Amino acid sequence: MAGLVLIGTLFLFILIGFPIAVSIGLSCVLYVLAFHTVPMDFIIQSFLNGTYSFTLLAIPFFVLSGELMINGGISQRLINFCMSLIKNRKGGLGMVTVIACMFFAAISGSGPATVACIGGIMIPQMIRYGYDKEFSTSITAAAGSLGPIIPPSIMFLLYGVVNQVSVSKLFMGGVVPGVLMGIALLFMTKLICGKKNFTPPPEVAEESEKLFNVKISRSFRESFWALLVPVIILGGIYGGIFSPTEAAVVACMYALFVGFFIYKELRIKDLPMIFIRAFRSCSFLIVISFSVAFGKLMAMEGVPTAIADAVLGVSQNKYVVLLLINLLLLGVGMIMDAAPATIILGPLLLGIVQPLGVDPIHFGVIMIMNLSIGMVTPPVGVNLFVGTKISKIPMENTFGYTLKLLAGMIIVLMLVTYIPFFSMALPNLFV
Amino acid sequence: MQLHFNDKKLWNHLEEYLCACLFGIMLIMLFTQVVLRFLFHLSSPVLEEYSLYMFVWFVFLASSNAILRNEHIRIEVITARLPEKVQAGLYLVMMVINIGYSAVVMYAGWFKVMDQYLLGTVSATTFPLFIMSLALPVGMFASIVRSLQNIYLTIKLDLIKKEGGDV
Amino acid sequence: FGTGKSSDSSVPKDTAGEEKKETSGGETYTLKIGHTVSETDPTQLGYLHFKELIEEKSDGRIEVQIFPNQSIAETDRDALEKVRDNTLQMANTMPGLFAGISNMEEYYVWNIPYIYKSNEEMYKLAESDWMLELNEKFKETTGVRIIADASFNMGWYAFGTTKKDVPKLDDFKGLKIRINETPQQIALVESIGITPVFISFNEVYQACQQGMVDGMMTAQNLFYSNRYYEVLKSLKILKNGAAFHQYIVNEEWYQSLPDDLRTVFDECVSEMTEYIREEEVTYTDKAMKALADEGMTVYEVTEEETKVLEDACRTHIFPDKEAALVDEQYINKALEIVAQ
Ligand code: NA
Ligand code: NA
Repeated sequence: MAGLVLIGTLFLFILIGFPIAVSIGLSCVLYVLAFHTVPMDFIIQSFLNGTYSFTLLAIPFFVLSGELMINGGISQRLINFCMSLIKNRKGGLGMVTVIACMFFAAISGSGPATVACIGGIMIPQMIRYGYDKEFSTSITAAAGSLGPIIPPSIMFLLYGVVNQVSVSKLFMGGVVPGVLMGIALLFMTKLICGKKNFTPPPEVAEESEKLFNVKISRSFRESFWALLVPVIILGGIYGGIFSPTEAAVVACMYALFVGFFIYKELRIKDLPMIFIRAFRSCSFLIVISFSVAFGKLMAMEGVPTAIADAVLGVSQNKYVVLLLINLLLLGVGMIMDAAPATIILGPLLLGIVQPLGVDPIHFGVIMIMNLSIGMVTPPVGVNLFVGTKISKIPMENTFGYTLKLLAGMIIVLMLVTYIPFFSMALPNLFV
Repeated sequence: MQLHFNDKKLWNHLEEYLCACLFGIMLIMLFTQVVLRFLFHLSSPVLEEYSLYMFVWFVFLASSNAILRNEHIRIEVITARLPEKVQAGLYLVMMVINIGYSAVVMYAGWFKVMDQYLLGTVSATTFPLFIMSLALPVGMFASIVRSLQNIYLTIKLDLIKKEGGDV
Repeated sequence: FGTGKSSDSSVPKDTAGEEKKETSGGETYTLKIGHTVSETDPTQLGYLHFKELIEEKSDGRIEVQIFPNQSIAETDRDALEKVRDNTLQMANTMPGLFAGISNMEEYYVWNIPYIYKSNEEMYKLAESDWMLELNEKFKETTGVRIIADASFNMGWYAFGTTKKDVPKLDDFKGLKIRINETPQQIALVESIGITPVFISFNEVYQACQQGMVDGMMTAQNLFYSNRYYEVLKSLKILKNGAAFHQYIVNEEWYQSLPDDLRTVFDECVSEMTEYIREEEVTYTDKAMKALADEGMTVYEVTEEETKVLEDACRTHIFPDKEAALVDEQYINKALEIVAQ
């Protein structure tokens, strides 16, 4: 009952146009005032604990590194190189975005960070060359969800720890599904761009044409320092020099260095505004902090348990239950952040499916894919938040494209759910 | 919603200037941590910890800043279809509720701060934690002030239609 | 700052944590318990045992809800704070943490390496008159009741490394090891030439896998339950501390129980303690065997090494208030108690 009130008030506030951060906080506070089952201090403590997170700290720095790379000329050169690879074709820039996100997912553990870094570079570029803002935002948000699927991944770590499942196997399990999802997004991009036929406005048409027609060897030389960014991040993390969060910091310092001393496009007087712009893009962080409190209240009210009972009440068949869980997780992904959802629901759902014969690794991949898709679904879709912050459009404007892209992603999700081979082949082979 | 506040006033950029500084300090501290560990095999427990305290302030002030700028993520599908005056009215209601809610959190947050201050609550490295927790009531207070500004400007400019935002 | 005076005025009391419902047998008391470890850990088994016992003995008048896996209490520190504010009524936590929320430096003796060297010594210190006195003061200051004789050892501290052979203390020189951020442990590991690295617990696995650190220090059982053996090759059980936990309960909730239920509660806690102490021993044995099966080499600390480390503590930690966080007289007092 109280659990229903909690979820009901949240949706009510969100639907009448309240900021999502306020809606979550407000429904938590109202719940405490109405039911007295936990003290108000619980809310305060959860808000603070939810914010005091080293993982969350990575986000502003990836946002900042994006800003620095744009202003310092790095992003432009990176784009140039990708363009010379893809050549001029319909939806070329969209495809560059997806490929860049796949690549970046392999160096970042988080979805929003992937959107912030690639989106910070690609969204303005796509808009400049005639893509509409809505598509640019949607495709980046969707491709950003590859961040936690392709390893390394904070989500897999959380899942592995709470369920006592091998993290290295989980990482391996994410590779093929991540790549499949990337391919699906490339396909959807081609489909959508084929219909929409985005063309560069006349004043930049020539520039766009030229960019695509550069020889790969030349664009490689010109963008060498820019291409080194992912190498440094990747090499730094896998070479054991820094953690993924620190990688964001190093990326900022590197972008500052290259922007000032190599490309010389960055000026001291630009810095305050760059920092302020990055700061402004971080207002959504509070939503994630607050959702920790919200998730805990749901746990206390037994909402997850009630859901589990409901699922098993419908069917005991493995395939039906997996379908129901997919639907459930897509629903949960709509309103809840992936981290608390993984921690709270992971053990519960695994407890349902494991006796039915589903491998914990396989299920982990399904679960993380679901919750990563949840990062793109409104109303609480953190990737959309980051994307719309960059493109400065209302979130609901992106829903049209987002739905189409989601369709592609959900097809891959179903493939991975019902064909264990995709998630299990690599872990069985290597670990 | 249209922005009404006076962009030229320093007052309206307080959170931004403060947090831009915090941002820079966090960047330097965390980079120092990487360099110290990699080049000199040194490590300090406080670099990351203190960065996180700053980050807590950063997040709560980012929220109040977004209130002023109406940059918080909202779903406006339903409200966008309403007449302009109704929208402005709804916006006012929202701001008033936000003030009430922020006041409750500020009040409870202030108790937390006082509690930690009086008890001498410290972290593992003996950092007094009330300094971190203070970010919550301060952030909520700032949100209240920014909401009041928005209420004033909305009434004056959207409902009474006077010229020029002067706060 | 802060005198650690009464907190009664500083916490809003209008929101009681207990839900009371009228039933035929009188009031029903809800007891919410939270812990940070997984559902297969002895901690959970202990609480399940406790739930069964107390619900039966109280004829259902005490209703227990268990929240495992960090679902409510994210860290031991958080568990303590949540019992204090009555979000949870009961939890288990490490006594060293009591100092951080009470300004009572004496509790930091629990963080000093090699104060105790066996379970019996830990129990002795925990149940000493000195600690009972401190606990009384702690209860008045914070509203948290420490159940002194309800304690258990979740495992001794050990060093897992990515090196196949690290049998001797000297071999740790120059290694980068992730440790807890307590000044006492920092001082100890630095004194034997280890570079302490501070990264969040969730990142340790990856950091070991990718070589950012050479290993980590934590309670020996966790190397098994958190699957660190996948990325580590050797384990040295240095016993430079332990994940020693005591049960804590919210005093206001405890006092709200009628006398008969309070007796039932006390009895059940005692039974749970007996049960979990046995379970922990079994679990540690199982964990150490499993680690060996997974290809990790497990080394116990030798007497000479313990001697070296104890001397390091005496010279680097005891006299240094910055590192020990507690006055040397209290350290000596604790040493006296365990030596008796
Ligand atoms: Na990733
Ligand atoms: Na979502």
